[in-house]
Amino acid sequence: MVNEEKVCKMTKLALDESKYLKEDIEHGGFYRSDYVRSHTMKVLCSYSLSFLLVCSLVCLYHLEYLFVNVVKLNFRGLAVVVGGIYVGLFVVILLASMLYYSAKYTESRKKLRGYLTRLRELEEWNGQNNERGTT
Amino acid sequence: MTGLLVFREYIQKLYRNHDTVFRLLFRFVIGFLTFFSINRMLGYQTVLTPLPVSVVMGAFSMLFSVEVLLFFAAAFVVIHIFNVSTVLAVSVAIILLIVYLLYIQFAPKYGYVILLVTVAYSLGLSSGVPVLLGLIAEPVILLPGVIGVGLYYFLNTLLSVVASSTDDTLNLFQLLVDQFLGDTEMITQVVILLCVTVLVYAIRNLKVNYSFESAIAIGFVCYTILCLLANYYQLMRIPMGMFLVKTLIAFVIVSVIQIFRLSLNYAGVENLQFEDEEYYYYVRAVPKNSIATRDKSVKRFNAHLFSDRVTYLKEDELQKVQEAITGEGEEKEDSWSK
Repeated sequence: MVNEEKVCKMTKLALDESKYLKEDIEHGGFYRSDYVRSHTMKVLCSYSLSFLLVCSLVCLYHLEYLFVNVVKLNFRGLAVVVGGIYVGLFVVILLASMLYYSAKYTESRKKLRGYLTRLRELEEWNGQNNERGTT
Repeated sequence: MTGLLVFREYIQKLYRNHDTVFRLLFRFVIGFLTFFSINRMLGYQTVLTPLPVSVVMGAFSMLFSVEVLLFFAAAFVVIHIFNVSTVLAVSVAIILLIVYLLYIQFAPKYGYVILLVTVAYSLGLSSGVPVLLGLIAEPVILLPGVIGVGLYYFLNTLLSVVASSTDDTLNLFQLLVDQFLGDTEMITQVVILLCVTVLVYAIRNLKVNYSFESAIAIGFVCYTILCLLANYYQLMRIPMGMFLVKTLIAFVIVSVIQIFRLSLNYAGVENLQFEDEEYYYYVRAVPKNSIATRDKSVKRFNAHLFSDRVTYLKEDELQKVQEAITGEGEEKEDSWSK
């Protein structure tokens, strides 16, 4: 016979799992440091590649000027400016992404804790019912 | 209104029963509109422009995620431009790659917003965009909205650059960048989008009756006034008649979306107050508008017999009526003769 209460609890859990907690359950498999590090690395790689592409577009835009003044250009000064911008933004993005992913991990743990509590409740409830069945 | 609510109930029921089909259909429509708009706007590569290609690409987008759809859309744009200028195609590919790396890969769920905003602007339904965004989303959606507007004006600038030049040199790229960054219409549209979206969002969150409906009306009025002001100060060029007609169409579309999304019955508002150990609660509960659809279906067994019977009955009734008429006639004749 179908137990309505049990079906309700299991349906709620399944809904939580499929709708809201899919990402959180994935995050739950990581330690905080690993999670933050891996995502920050991803962000920094994307940033570096984008910076390179933006630089290439700027070069493309000023290509004519670069060809004409290639001898007169102060490459060291240019490298210091570009490098400074890169490093400055790198540090800002590093800190921002570490803070963001750390907060996201905390939130996701909180959600998972609630989910696990409900799972435990279901387990206890199942145990009680099984005992009743055997006695 | 009642008819619309009944229709909404019917559609919701249909959606509940066939949600997978509806989701696939939604993806198809988005994909088809995207590729159709790209082909309509650019259309340099004649192999890609026929309608069946857009249909096939729409069918493809049913199978893949939004990221893949965005990749295909970007590839379409680059292929179209490659037919005109190699330098421009490479630079556009780099710009789209930067957009992907910096935003879309971190928030792929907003990919649809970028696509929809670009498509809505290309169809001239720009007035509906900020109202809809403010109505259904959180402020975080402003960024994909702005990217969508930027993408639309970037493609527009690209078109004018290609149309005005015949050579394929680096100057084209310089011209594209100069025109794009100096496009006052784009900057004005972005500012209007931000203002109207924030305004609509603020109004719909007010705890007053008809906040959603007021937000829609005020949003459209504000958008129209701001556009007219921008037109007056020559920041934008608006063909007035067309602008008003398309604003009206957008208003109808957004209102219908709102009715389908959420329709509240403010006549049944309930203000509740209760408390627990920690808090005292003031709750304002607004019931949703809902109408019970007719769920009755009459199943006839031996329907052919019924239809025969109906014809027999009809014939009987006809005979009775004829008899009655002739009887009355005879009576009348009798009375006359008397």
